[in-house]
Amino acid sequence: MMITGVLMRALQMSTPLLLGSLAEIFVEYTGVMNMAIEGIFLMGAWGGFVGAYLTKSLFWGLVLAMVAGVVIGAVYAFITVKLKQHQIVTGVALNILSGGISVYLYRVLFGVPIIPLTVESLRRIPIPVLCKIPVIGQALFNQNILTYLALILMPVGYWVLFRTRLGLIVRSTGANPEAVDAAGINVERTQTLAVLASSAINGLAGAFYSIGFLGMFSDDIIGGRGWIAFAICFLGNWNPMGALVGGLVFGLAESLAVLLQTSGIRLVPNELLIAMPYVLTIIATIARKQFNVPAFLGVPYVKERS
Amino acid sequence: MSNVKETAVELRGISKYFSGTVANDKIDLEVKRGEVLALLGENGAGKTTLMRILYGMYRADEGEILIDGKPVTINSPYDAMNLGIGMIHQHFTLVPVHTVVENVMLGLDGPYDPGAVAEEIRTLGRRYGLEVDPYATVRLLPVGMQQRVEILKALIRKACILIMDEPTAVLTPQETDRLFDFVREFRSGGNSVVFITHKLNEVMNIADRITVLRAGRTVGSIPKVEASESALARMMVGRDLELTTGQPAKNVGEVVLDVDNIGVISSRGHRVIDGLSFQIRQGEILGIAGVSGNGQEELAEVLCGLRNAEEGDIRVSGKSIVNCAPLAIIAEGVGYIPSDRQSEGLVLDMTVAENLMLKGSSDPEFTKGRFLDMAAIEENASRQVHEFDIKTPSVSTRTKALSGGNQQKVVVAREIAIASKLLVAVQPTRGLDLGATDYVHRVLLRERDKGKAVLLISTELSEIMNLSDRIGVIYRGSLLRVFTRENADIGEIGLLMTGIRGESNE
Repeated sequence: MMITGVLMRALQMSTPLLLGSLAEIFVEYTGVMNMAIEGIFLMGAWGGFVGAYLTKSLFWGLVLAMVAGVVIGAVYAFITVKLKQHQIVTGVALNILSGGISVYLYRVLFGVPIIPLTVESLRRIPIPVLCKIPVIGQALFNQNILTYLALILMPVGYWVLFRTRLGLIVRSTGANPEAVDAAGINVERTQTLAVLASSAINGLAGAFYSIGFLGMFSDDIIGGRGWIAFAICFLGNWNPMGALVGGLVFGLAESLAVLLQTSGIRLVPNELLIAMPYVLTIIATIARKQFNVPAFLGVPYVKERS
Repeated sequence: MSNVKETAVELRGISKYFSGTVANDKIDLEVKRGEVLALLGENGAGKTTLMRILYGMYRADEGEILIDGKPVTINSPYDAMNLGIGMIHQHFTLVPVHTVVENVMLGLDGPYDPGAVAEEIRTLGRRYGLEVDPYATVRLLPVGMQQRVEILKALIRKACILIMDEPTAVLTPQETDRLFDFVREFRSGGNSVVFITHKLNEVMNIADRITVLRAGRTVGSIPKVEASESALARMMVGRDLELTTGQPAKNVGEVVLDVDNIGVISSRGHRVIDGLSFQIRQGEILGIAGVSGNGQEELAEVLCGLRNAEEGDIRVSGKSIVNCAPLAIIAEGVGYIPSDRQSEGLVLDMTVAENLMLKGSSDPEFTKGRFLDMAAIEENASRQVHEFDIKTPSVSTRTKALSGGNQQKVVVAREIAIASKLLVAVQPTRGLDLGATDYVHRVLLRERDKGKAVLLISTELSEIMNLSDRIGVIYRGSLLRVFTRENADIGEIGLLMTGIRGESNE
């Protein structure tokens, strides 16, 4: 059925956006933007493919994707949290670096293959009984592990943020780091751990593009989708449930675009459809009166100021 | 009560350096159980630094800390809290967008149970007279309430040594009295309080013992019974200081500033100024008292063209300036000393000379055609530096290298040059030491005597009482009452600051 197909693809396309935006929400609540997100997505895609290709195991692909993400995240955290350097500048530098290093390491390992190397992508895991539900069964309950993970992590993330001690610390750090410091919590450690954790999740998100469904790696595989995840964090007003909606809208738009392109239906130009979520983002941004921007987002915390 | 009390905290030879400057120089300090120790000193004497070391926010470069006679290492506020030390910071360490209970729970060990903590907040609040709604958002609470939250944070962590950094700076006289009641109550339970202040009358009111710091060193430590305000002032400043008190205005002339029923709505949609009217005449200082956040900043901004008024009119010497551009208002001879000299008054990375001409970049005095006249700018700066006794290595020194007092002198010098008719001064002595404060006061009185109109907006009631010829009280954007200097009563003004209107307080 066509609707099922569109929904299924929409969930697929939104998976990395959900993971990335959730990671970004957490890290931004601690006052640090993970501006290296695009580069980390790319490194995750690289790590996922290389790990899976070399070990013939998708599991190790996912592990390497997270490790690659954390490596970039660690550099980012060191420069921005420890050395207090500018987050946007650092992020831009790391994104450029990731673009070069992933291709370089790919070629060091595999040369320049004439036919792109491929691995088998993550398998769908049908959930018994539930996947038999008409229309939505196949879309919701016959997906791969990362999609399930993304859908579960959104409400879990919400619960952690707003109903636990850890979440309170995370939310307080970007709102007033000095309050966190005065409460006896190490601000730098909180921020560093948040950057590392978000980078691990972003690595997974990136791996979705390489081994989640394509089964291959190329240097333009991410194509700005890291930035979309970054924007969804904003669009969702730093709320995982808002980001869930935002991520699904983007996924749906991409899915519809693919459908219209392959089916040859030309109601509207395909490009317009792909542009819709971006237009929506801009409209939502203008329309919204009040954002829950963490007050100290992007401002390094200097502990001993005279 | 026994005379020999146990020592709760002892600091020995504490030193702290900040990039080459000495903040604390081998300071010794002792706090006993059941005692209120006042830590007295001017701004920059090292009081806050010393206490932040005790609370683990800063690390001492030398020296040791003993709690109950045992040497301890305090690496973070977490360690300090485990030793029973709590600190109420001058700038509250609260998360404004969170609720009271979330703020209190931050960093608290144990299970995440807001309900139980809220109950504990209520219980402690009742016991110490610090009632506050646990589920209120901190941002929406008045500043006195926010302070209660800070205190409750320490109490819930079972602090028995409470450090309070200038806690009365943001309070009305009545709130101060209630805070002092709390301090006495807390002390009577065998707890200790370190009370950081530079206000002598508070010291005499609340302290059992007084330790005075000056320029990072301990000057001395004396029991209250042996202290007097003048002796303490001498210890603090290091010399005799005769503070200026304003003489009443003599030559009050015609109306300069006429504020007529203005109303201002903030970007959040609140009515921050509501039907405000007053007049100031030549040769007169009008003081506006009030708890901060009652529309003072907005009033000053409207007067100087930084904010638009929705209603009403403002006339300077009969000419309407309401909603005019700042440059047009400057041209009318209105000077503005903003409350925050570092972010609003100065560009810290620019030189003293540049800052002294900052608002005159289109003034023919400083320009030659389309270009700046550097010689004139420097000449003006040299004259001002001399006239206002600004201590700077040269006029081309960056302003951020100057001390707070000298930075403020740069602002004052520039604005007085602009203010041919009216000077608007908001918190002109915030963060200044006694000497610099006195200097600014003198200048304001001198300008008044020259026939200028001065609007003095300050939350320091003593400053208002001391300098003003008339005193208005602002509350929620309205002027509740204007007193003349003779019939101004500090008790009544204090009540009005909290919004309580009463013709008499009998």
